[in-house]
Formats: sequence, C-alpha cells, structure tokens
Amino acid sequence: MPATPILKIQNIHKHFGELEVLHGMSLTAHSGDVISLIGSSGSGKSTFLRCINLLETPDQGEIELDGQAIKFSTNRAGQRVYDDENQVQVLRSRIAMVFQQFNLWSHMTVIQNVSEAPMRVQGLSRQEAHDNGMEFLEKVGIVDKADVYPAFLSGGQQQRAAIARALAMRPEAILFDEPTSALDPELVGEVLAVMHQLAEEGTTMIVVTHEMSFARDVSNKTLFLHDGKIEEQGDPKELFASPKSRRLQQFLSRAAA
Amino acid sequence: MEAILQSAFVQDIATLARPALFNLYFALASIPVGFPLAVLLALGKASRFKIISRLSRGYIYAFRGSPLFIQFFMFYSMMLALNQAYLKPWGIDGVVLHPLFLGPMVLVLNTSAYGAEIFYGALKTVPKGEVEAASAMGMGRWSVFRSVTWPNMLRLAWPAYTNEMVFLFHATTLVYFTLPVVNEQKDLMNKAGELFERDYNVFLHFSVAALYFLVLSILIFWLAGLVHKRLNQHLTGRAEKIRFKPGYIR
Repeated sequence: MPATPILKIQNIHKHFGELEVLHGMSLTAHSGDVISLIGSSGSGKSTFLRCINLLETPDQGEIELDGQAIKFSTNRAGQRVYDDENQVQVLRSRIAMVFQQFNLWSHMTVIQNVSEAPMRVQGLSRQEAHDNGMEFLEKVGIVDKADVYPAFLSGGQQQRAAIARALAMRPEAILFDEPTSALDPELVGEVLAVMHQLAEEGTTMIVVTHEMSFARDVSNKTLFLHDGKIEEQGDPKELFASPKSRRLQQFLSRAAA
Repeated sequence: MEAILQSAFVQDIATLARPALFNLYFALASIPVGFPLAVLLALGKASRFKIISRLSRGYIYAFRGSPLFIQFFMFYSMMLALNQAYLKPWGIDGVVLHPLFLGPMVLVLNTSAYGAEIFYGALKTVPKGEVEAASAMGMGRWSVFRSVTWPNMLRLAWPAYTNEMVFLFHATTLVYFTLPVVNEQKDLMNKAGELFERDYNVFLHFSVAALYFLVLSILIFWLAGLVHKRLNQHLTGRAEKIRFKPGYIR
C-alpha cells in the first residue's frame, strides 16, 4: 500500500480568455520525488506549476495536499474561485515556490528575505527565524551575503537566496519555475548544484526546466508537455534514451542542437 | 551695523517671522492627517469592492477637479449654514468655525485627494513578482501588504509626495483669503498685504514673504530627502540603521 502522495493533481484545465492553455493535466508527487516538466515555450509548463499552488486558479480539476482536496466554488461572474483562503494559505506555506525572476523582496536584506515568511506565517520569533534562516543560507552557500540587499548580488546568488527563502519554510515540496532561465550561462551551474544537493537529500521537487541534463540525471520522473497536455511521461533515463512520441523526438533533437 | 538692522528689509524679516509660523502650522497640522487618509483613499480606489472603489474615485475627482480656493469658500459657508442648527447647540462653533481648525480641515480634504492619486499610481507599479512571491509563501493579505506592498509603494510614491507636501505648504496662503482673521493671527500673505497697504512697497514685502516660503520649502525638501535616502538604501548600499548622530545637529 503506497503512502498518501504529498500532492495529487487531477485533470487541470485552464484558459486565459479564448486561449486554452491546459487541457487535463495530472500529476502525483510522493515524498522524495523529483519531477521535471519539460516542453517547448507555450506548452503550459509554468501555468501548470502556478495552478498547483493556486497562483492561477484552474477552471477545472482537483488539487489534493496530503489527501485533502482544495475546495472550489463558482462566483457570480461564473469564474471558479477557491473557497477557503486559509486553506490555500496553508497549502502555499507547505508547498514553496522558486521563481524564474527570483522575486526576492528588494527592500530586505538576504537574511530578512529568508526570515520574513517564517515570522509572518509560522509565527517564529525574530531570533528563531534568523537562526533558521542562517541555517539555510549556509546550506546554499551564501551565508556571507546575509546582510546584503538583493540588488548587490549576482543572479546566481539571488536565486540561491530565493531557494533558501523557500527552504526556510521547511516545506513538504518545492516548485521550481524555470529557476535557471534568467541566469547568465556561467551562473547556471551554481544553482543547479544546490538543486542537485537538495534532490539527493530527498527534497520533494517539481521542476519546470530547460536544462535537459538536470531533468535526465536528477529527476526520477519526467513529464513532457505539449499544447497543455502530457504527451509522454516516465522514467527520465528511458524517456531521453528512447522517446516514443514524434513530438518528444523532435523536441529532444532540437534541445540537443 | 545699526543701519542694516534698521533697514526695511531686516525689519520685514522680523515682522514676518510670527506670521510665518501660521503657514507652518497649517502645513504641519494637515500633512500628518492627510498622509494616512491619502493612503487609505488610494487603497480604496484599488479595492476589489466596486462601491468602495467608486466612492474613492468620486472623492478624489471632486477634490482634484475643483479649485482649492473655492473649496475653502464652500466649506466655510457650509459651516456657517450649519452653525445655528448644529454647531452652536453642540457648543462646538468656536472650534469648527475657527480658521486654525477649518483651514487645516479643508487642506486635509484637498491634499488627501492629491496624495491618493500619487499613492494609487505607486501601488500600481509595485513589482508584481515580489507581491506574488509573498502570496506564494502563504502570507495573508495583510502580511503581504505590510511586508512587501507598503514599503515598495511608499518608496515609489515618495518623490511625488514630497512635491505634494511643498505644494500644500504654498497653498496655506489661501487660508486667510477666505477665512476671517481672528485677533492678530495673520499669516505671511496677510501680514505682507498689511505692510503693503502702508507704503505700497509691493516688491519688498512680498519678496520677504516669498523668502520665508523658499527657506521653509528647502527645509521640507531636505527632510524629505533624508527619508528618500532611507527608503532607497537597498538600491545604494548595505543596510545601515538610522542612528541618532548628534554631530549632525548643531
């Protein structure tokens, strides 16, 4: 009997105006899973990720955290909205997110960035949040930058700070939205190294990425998205070695070029 | 030396010192009330609730769309009309009709509308990603506002709001154009006008009055500049706590 998955996402649909972005996406994440989402731009990877923690509200579909379904209803304008703001806040505090553009709070130093949410959301004292934050800054290797503002960090350092900010919540899973896409090529490595380390420690991660080597070598499950649907999924080693669908074959040959 | 002290210029500076305090009072009494009201109105304008948004928009439009001069007249005559029926029986006519109350009141109503438009513009340009990151950490609306939206909004609004404070200070000259002077409570415009009527030296008296405005405006710019520096420290250097440094204060 397998344990209850941390996240169970079923049949997510999402459209923006006329544009149907997702049609029927599903995903199940168990503890320790590293799931990579690959696919060309516009395939719906990021939108899907943003639906998981309800930064976008899906038009259809179910989201379960530890077996608990998020409650939805329809508002007067006919849009689907979530029912219980607290429930969503709990989900978000347990499923952290790392953004492509880092989105660090620019008016706070690195340590303040890392301490703020544990203080506000989890009620840690300033000192507790500080100690907790320093632990994770150490982990991502920027403890010496604790008192520096984000504007004075390199992109790689900023993204590592953002990862520490996510870790500081001690979440059950972390969503990564193209974490290396905004970085200069020479800075990609340091961020991937941190993510690699997290994966080895058993952190549950769902990663939207264009780094094929990361998807192949680090994740234990890869989903290839095309046009808002899962075109192919499975063990990354097999998927990359012998893609079955023509689209994935094309995608991989283009990615390799 | 004696001649300098006796000169009309120095005499004017001395005579206008006390009136300058009235202009300063009107500004200092209005800004601390107008500031939070402006922020509330800006949030009201941006509210998800249509009624709140419409009411805020209506208020801002009314006070930005009509001359301050007329607003003074309107509120004064309104208060006079209410006097017999309400103010007197309640025993508050002495306060409400007094320029030292009614003046700042109208200035507050006016500056909060202008300030609201400034803060609303700032609110709209707060980096979306930063706000989203806060929500994505599970922060509630209030926490997101306090931790992320407000500091950004204040920083973005500050240069324009500095202007508004200086405009407001200059607008204090309108108070006694409409409201009655009580006893010898005259402001710069009043007093300069009175001096002018004695010798018709328009250039001298109003220049000295303007000089007071120039000097006090510099003070506002300087103070606002300190705040601006503080608000932007994260873009210019390491964290520095503002410390009380007696050396700077002479």
